[in-house]
Amino acid sequence: MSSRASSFWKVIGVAGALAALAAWPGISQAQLGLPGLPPLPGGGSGGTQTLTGQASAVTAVVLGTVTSLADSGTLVDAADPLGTGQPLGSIPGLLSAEALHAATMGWTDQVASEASLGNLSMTVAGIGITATTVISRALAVSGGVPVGLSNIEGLTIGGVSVSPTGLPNQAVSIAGLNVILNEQIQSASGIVVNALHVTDPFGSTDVVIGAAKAGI
Amino acid sequence: MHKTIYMLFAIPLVLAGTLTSGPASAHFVPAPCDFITGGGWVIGDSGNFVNFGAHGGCKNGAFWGHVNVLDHAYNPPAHLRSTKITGYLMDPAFPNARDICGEGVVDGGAGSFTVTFRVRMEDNGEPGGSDRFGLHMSNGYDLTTRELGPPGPTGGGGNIQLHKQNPSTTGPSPAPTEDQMCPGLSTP
Repeated sequence: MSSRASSFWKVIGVAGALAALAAWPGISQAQLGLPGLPPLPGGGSGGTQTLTGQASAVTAVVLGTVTSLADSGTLVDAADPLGTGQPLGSIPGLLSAEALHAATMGWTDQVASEASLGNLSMTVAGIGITATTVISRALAVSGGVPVGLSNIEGLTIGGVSVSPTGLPNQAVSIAGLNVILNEQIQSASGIVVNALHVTDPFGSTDVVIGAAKAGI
Repeated sequence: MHKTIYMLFAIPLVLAGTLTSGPASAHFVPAPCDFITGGGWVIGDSGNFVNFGAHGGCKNGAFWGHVNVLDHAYNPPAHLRSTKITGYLMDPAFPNARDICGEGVVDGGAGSFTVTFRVRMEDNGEPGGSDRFGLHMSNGYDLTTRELGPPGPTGGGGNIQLHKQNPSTTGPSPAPTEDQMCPGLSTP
């Protein structure tokens, strides 16, 4: 198949995937991969492999203002792994964290992305959220089912200890906060993993802690 | 106050000088090169949290990575931020481990100063409790390599992942020696 034809089908794939996700009951824009990371492109139907990878320790949208901490940037080449880190990170009035890091790496047949941070302290709509460690991982292997993984340890919401089940898309609602643990958004070409996704009941704050995206 | 802070760094310096066994041998750059990534926390020798997030490997004929470590034994917590990665090594005795060496800045604790460092990260499978992390710095700080978990009073948490080799990402050629990559720093 020519690269032009491949691109055409990718465009169709993107449109189809977005349409399907948009029509999915209860799926908000945030759950399409925003604000953590942009959604994945649709699956290719052959031809050359397109690598998609990105990771960020924190991405927050507060009253329309987007702030990211430790964002790897977008992977474009298997020979060009990307990563970043910072010892301390904060968004005034919203959160603080330590030892933030994000990395995305590609091979000819797979992409792996990872984001992590420690000692998270966050307040959304007056509700405190803490965690000792938050990690997200995404792995997409050519011809295989993409895999996502989150580690959330020491999580409390509103002073209440919350135990992650490990299952994808564990929903927790406390005092009006909508929290999704180990949020996984699959597409034909890859996966977006948001370890901890918090939205307030007013729609003014949307925070993703630990976002990893991998597609091929 | 300053004397206390000095002692916090001076004591580990003396201990490190006593306990280190000199440069280890037979550590080398893996070929083809691979990557290691991870984040989490361990319990320091005084019962304090030490948080870390790090990744390393090779890229475009050089070494690649970032290392950030924050030790709550100090007030304010001392944190290491890498500014340059000078080495990425494997130890045949610990095939799941990689060492990342580099230069960095330590802030907090005793102020701000530059160091060289050597981090060990070891991936011993999922879910990560058996993974190990350690840090040795040129100022004498020595966090011996220890397990991340299990979470609890004596254990930390997190996860370290050793990724497969990638022939398209290469380190320096010829590969530098261990002492060139991590001058004067033994494995933590």
